[in-house]
Amino acid sequence: MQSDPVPEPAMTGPTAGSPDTGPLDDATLVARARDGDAAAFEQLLDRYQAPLYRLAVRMLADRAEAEDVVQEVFLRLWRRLPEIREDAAVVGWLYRSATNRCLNVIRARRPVADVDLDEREATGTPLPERAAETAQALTALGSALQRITPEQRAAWLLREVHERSYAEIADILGTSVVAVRGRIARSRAELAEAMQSWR
Amino acid sequence: MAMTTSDSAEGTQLPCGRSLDALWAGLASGTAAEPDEHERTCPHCRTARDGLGALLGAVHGARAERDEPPPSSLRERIMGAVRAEVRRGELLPLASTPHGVVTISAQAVAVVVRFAADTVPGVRARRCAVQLAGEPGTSADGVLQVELSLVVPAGPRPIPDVVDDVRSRVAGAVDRSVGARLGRLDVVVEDVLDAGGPDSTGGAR
Repeated sequence: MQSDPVPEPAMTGPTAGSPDTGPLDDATLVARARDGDAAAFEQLLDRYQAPLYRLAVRMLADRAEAEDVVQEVFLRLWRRLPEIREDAAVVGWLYRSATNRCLNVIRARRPVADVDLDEREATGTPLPERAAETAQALTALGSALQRITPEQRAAWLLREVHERSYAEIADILGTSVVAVRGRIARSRAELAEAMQSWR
Repeated sequence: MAMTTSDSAEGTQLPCGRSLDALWAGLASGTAAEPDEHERTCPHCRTARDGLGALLGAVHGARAERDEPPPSSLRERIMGAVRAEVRRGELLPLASTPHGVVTISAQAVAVVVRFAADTVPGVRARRCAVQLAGEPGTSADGVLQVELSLVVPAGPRPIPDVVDDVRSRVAGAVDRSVGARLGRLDVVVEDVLDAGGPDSTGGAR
């Protein structure tokens, strides 16, 4: 039995990486984060914040709003960990929260005319230089996406850019696989039309 | 020329009867990179191929988009809030001294326990609950009771051997790093993972 004050181990040190196993699987990170392990939570954040941010930027065409969405989603995850029972499927939970949060942000906006959407796209910080062709294609896609409905946009982005399954997207959007397939097909036709006139 | 489509039971159709979805599938998979006989002459198909081709290029660009990462300030804000709310867990009295009772947080012990378990090859500690073995104030002070859930590797070592290893390393670490005795360690093997690696990392693109 030791009577000296016991130094508390650092909260961030030893758990930052497993000694021999490389990156930890999601279920392990979620279980640890639920125990209050901030370093495990940080690994989840590092793994998923970039895809969620890209989804939110494309959904909202506004980087500041996209940052807010990502922040809210991760803080909600941290605070709700004790209730969340989808350890291995945390990525699905994250996509569902982010998508719904984006849709809520859009619904809360005052109705905007098309011209405002173009301005919204233009107000962000300038994008870094890309290969010119890709940059133009992505800009055209960005404006085309703002012209389809938010629900179509969410379904299309989750499928084509984030490569989620139809079943997952149906779960995220609270609808059926058939409805998701229809939404994506309609989005594809409308986006192809817009991209064709751009080219 | 504008692209005209209609929705039918078979999906989105061009006026010539071809399916836009099939055209997309062919382009996206590369199996229809070149137009067929009909598509070379059909104005609807030519227009659709142009539009879908441009869309496909943008999709590839968007999937590979890595040059617009979230700003580092976002990560800092999130982790700042998270650390401010860290659940340190119950304070456990380890020993009574003339200067008062020495305590340690359950969360701090859990860090030591998980780290010790992780040193066994292929093992990953998940959930870890730490409490005192006896009633507070009894002679059991300083004796801890730990519940630990684990992922273990799928061979070649028998799982009981791996768990025995975990037990001795955790007991040693609690003794050395915490200065407490491990009265009881309940181990739950939650999952067995192939040596191939984690089954659910990098699920997002």
